[in-house]
Amino acid sequence: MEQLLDTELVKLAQRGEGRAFDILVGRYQTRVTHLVYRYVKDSDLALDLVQDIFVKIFRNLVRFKGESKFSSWLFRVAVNDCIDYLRRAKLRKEQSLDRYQEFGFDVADEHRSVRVAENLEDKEDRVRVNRALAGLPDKQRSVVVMKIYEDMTFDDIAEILEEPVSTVKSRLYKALNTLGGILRRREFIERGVQ
Amino acid sequence: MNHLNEEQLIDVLMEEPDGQTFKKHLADCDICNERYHTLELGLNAARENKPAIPLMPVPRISYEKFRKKSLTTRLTWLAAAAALMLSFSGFRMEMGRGNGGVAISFSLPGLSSNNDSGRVAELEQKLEQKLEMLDNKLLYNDRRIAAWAEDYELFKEESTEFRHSVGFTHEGMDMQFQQIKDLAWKTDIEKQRSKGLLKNERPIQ
Repeated sequence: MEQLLDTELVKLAQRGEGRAFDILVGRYQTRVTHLVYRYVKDSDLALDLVQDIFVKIFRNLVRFKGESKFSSWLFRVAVNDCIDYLRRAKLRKEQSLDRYQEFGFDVADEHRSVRVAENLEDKEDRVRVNRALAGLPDKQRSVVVMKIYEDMTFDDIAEILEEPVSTVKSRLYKALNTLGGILRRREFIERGVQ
Repeated sequence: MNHLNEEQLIDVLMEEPDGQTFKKHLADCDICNERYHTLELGLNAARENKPAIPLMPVPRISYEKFRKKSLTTRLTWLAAAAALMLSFSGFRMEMGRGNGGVAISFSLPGLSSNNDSGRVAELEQKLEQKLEMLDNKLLYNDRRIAAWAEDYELFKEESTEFRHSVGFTHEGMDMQFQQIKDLAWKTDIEKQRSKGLLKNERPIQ
């Protein structure tokens, strides 16, 4: 059964063949785990999210009609779950910021500022780029994760995000332009000083 | 030649097959080259910030596990729905910790017994109370009706006495009404006769 194509395994799994589902999971769980980790950067959280993603796949497998590749559908669910999680986390952070503004201090921020200050001179750009990466719009960030970190093809990314290839490339252009712009500014400043 | 668009620059940057054709333009055009350089810096920065994957345990995911979980979830929902239906039907749900773990029992609202004979006894008692209340209500209504009947009789008597005292009876009223009718009829006949409208005159009674 290991040699069967995804589509054949999906059909078997839809008929209740548990082994077929397990083979599909085995084929993709590492890639999905890596993809999720690139988003959330926390291994425990990534493992929890991967469980949730495969639960969703299990529940909705019967309704999967094969209009796109199984892998595209799986990665789409994964990307959407990660984006949802990050949105919720961002909201929580904003609420925490409100508390900060209300009470005047935040312990987490205090630690962070000390940590950043220690490496300020040699890692200033890295911090800026990291912030810029985290601040990218969801779809631009997804393209960066899938293309640059996971080395997926533009066609696959387009199918996962359900967008034309040209839109995916345009999103990557905007994301890299934002990140490059941060470093270019520094280049200009250094040139000006010299 | 036109400058390269976003897609074409990305094709060159990511070494896509289509990108090869635009490389020459990039070497000749300063504006495109500047834009490309910014993208290149961005790409390098993104690559440098690529989160390294730590060693992670393989998630334990299997069809059997999900099937059991799904079944448990469904049963939980089913039980919750049944409990909701029972509570809507007038049953009261009680949860408590017994010797064997958590126990759920149902009873009718207002009843404290959890066994059948206790419930029946309580229901009989409640029924008796209700019947007694109903009896009292009926008695009260009977008394009110009797009082109304008494009032009516009294009113009738008073009314008859009043009519006698003013000499106004039903019979007298009828006679007066008949006299007025006769007078009106006679007057009308007289008018018709004076105008010569009566052809076959009947004798006046």
